[in-house]
Amino acid sequence: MSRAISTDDVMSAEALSVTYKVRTGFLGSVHREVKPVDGVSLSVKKGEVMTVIGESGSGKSTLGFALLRLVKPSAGRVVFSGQDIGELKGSELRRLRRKMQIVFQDPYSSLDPRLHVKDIVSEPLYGSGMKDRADIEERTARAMALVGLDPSAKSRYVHEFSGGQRQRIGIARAIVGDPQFVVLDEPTSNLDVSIQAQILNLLLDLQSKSGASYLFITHNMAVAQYVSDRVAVMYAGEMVERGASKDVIGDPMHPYTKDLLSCVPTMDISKKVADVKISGDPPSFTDLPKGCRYSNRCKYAFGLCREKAPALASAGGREVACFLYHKEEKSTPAPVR
Amino acid sequence: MTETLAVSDLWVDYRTKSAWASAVRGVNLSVGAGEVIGVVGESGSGKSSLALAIIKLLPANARARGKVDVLGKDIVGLPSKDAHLYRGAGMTMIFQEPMTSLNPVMRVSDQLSEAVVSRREHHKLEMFRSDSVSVPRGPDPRFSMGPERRAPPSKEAVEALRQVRISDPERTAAKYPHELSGGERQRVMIAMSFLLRPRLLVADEPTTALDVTTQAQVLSLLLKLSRDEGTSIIFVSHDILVVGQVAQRVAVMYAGEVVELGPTEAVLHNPLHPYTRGLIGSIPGGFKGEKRIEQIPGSPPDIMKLPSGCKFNPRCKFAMDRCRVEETALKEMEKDHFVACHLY
Repeated sequence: MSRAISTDDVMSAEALSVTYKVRTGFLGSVHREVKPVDGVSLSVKKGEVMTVIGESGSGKSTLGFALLRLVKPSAGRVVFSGQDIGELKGSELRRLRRKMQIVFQDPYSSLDPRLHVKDIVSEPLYGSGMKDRADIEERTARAMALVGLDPSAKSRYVHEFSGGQRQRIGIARAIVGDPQFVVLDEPTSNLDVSIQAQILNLLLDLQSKSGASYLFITHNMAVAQYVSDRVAVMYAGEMVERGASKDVIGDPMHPYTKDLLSCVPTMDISKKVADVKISGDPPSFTDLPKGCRYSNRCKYAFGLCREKAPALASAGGREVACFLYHKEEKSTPAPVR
Repeated sequence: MTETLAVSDLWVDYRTKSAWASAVRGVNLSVGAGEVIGVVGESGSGKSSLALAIIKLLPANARARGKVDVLGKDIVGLPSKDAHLYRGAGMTMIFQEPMTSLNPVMRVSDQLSEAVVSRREHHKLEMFRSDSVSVPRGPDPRFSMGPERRAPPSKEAVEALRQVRISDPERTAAKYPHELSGGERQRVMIAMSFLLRPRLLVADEPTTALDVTTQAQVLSLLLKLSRDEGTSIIFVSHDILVVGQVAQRVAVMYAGEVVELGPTEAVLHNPLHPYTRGLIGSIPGGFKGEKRIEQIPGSPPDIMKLPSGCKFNPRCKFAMDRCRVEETALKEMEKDHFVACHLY
């Protein structure tokens, strides 16, 4: 599926794949390849929050890393503000990094314990080749103020801060260079709910002030609903449903999205998630089912689902990769097992 | 009829360089037979220390004070070497990360058979019905290498795996824990509980490391255990919505104290304590731009530097002068609904 890259896309990926080589078997004697991201196309428009929803092992974080070239894609193209970043090298890429940033999940392991907070926050500026000390200091102080860190924090070390405060440091580091695009990889999943509320509100405020585009990665449906303009649901390395948050979360179409949403506990305690019957576990990348990757767990699966992989195509005001909604493909004769 | 568990005025202290720091501060809690009670709190609220004190697995640098009556007998004063008599068929625990509770060098079937042996040994003792705890002498059943231990995967073990809806239980029984997914490991832990048929199960964040689809499966199994075997469950979690799915009553903990206790429906839909209200208000809900979630300012206190009076007062928007000096105690506001707050 290829389409012209529109000019209001800040970040877009076309048929992006990431391949990892793994060794299994006795003493790693068997070499295999797994594709945590398999032919994914995605675009993030100017000033929008796009959320990638997925369970562990769905490839959602790897997708975020590949967009920023933190891992090298094995196939496909990534275009950031009109530039194909697959061809960039060394200093060119480093200069661009200031404009495309990331906030990691774990505020403990992602911040250097030996650096002062101000050095962590200002690193993207030095990295991009800025040399004006006064300017760097001013921008660092501004970023720290924006995330609600006290100016006295600048000469302290990260171990002196709580999880929520550390995540603020990580966010200050990401926004210091006025990025156009920020990947937020589960930024609140290690935090307590009351602290999560503070960080989510902070991120939304920063986004509406700066007009930057966010790619938010999460497994939490309530968080996705709260922050997103658009959402994309990933399953086993592929995108299964994508569209406006109100459509996809409010009225899911793909059986996986439906099942996923029905498992989320809500304030309505009469709705028991324990009554939801979903069998099995997500597949492993070394042993994917034939055809649709959800076919072995899907209660609507029919013959064709186990033969052919459905493509992401428009239906019901969004895009869905499911044969239930693509009649013309459904009518093609398929051997039923 | 005695309750399965009765905790009264329980304190858990940890030894630090200078003094003892209390993580659990005077908790009272009782759990009836077959009841599921939820304990909700943020990190540092003392919920895990409470769980460990109940199952008598506190680390060496901690001490428990007060009373923890399991099946009518106090276990706080029980010597640690005798505590295993209560664990197993008496009470068991499920942790957040099942890999740390399973033995990595033993096949799943052998670990499950161990549970069967343990249950039989316990039932021989009949200690749960006798008036005094008689400590049996002789070899510890856990370390015996009798024929029972070496037997192939027993029918009971395979059946327990089937009960927790593991596909192909015969094959899974022959695997080692590292060959299983996180959800499968947690289900093996629950299968073990099905084999032990404990009177009390303490589950500390049992679904936190799991995906939502797997979480739903695990919650359903825990409910089945309490329904089928009459097991009482203490479900400890940071997520009040997950607790709401399984618990009949909820206890909300803050800085080592229970600040609110009541029927799940009442605590969720009519929270009384400002902290509980803040906790529920900070759950993301609605679509972007519809409603801004509330936030509780600040962060939970350090147990070494607790404020005087109500421990929540520095973060509470209703705090009065009285809250800064006078400690709070649980008061019954509605039937079975208790709150510790000077507003009431």
